[in-house]
Amino acid sequence: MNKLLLLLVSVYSISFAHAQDGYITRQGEVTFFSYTSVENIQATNNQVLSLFYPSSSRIGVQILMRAFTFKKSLMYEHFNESYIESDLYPKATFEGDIIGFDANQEGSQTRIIKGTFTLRDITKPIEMKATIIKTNGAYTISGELEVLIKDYEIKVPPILSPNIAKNIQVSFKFQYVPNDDQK
Amino acid sequence: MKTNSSIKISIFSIIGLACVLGIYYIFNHKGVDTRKAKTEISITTNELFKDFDEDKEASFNQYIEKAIEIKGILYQVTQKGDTYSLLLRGNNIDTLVLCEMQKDQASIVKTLTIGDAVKVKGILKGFLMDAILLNCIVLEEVNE
Repeated sequence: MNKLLLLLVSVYSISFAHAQDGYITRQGEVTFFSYTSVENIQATNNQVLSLFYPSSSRIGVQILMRAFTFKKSLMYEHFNESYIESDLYPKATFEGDIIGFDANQEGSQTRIIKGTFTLRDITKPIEMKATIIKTNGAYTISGELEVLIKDYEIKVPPILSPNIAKNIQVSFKFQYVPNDDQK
Repeated sequence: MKTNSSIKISIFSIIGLACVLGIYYIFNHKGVDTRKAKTEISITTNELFKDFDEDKEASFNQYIEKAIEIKGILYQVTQKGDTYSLLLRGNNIDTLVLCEMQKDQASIVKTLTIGDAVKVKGILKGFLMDAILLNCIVLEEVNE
């Protein structure tokens, strides 16, 4: 089974009609920030995969953890080897629904997205405010959320604890095109 | 005696300086330069994605964080800020190779045309729907 179909199935209890109205981005942007008085850490991933189904308001996201880029390679090593353990848990995923979304509304609408976020094989319910913009038959979804490191059992050594925020700020921006346009 | 003390002070100073420089390098190292990384495998997009399934993906785990070379057909060029990405395809359009280029590749990327046969070298980060490589450079074998 090809990987697109696997993702479709994971996002959906799917009907073929849903698959046909799908939108995709292969290069969504996710950035996270850790602010502390000792150190500020920022990393960006520009290779995030997401599928969006306007007719049912469903959205799915897959993030390859090793594709985050940091200013310093030591931060990258700590992130992948010590905190996320990317060899064991290479991907994070989100599946959810946009509450009250109107697929026919042109322009911008601000909505709450509710769903589940899985990181390090730990799944937690999560919700966030997002802006959805429809222009010329394409969609852009952007927003912010907060992730608590204790929710995902991310272990920070005591000596580095002052350097890592307990609450990680995450922002995202996905610019979707019709899935058929990618073929 | 005075000479011995001077020698000791000099040696300790050099060692101290080396330690400071070493620590500075470790904490401020920007990452790999793909040009200098040893190529672990050279492959085409069709060879990579032929019969691609979970087992084949797992067989490529040995190359994650290693430099690999991939040749494919240039399907799309995207730009975010001053960073370009090349999307390479094979016969199957559902799966691509996403190559986020090193910043110094901008002038080379601008010379490429969609449909070109392009060979890139980059650091394999893993797979989602596509293969994802970062720190990519275009090799010379363009339009070969």
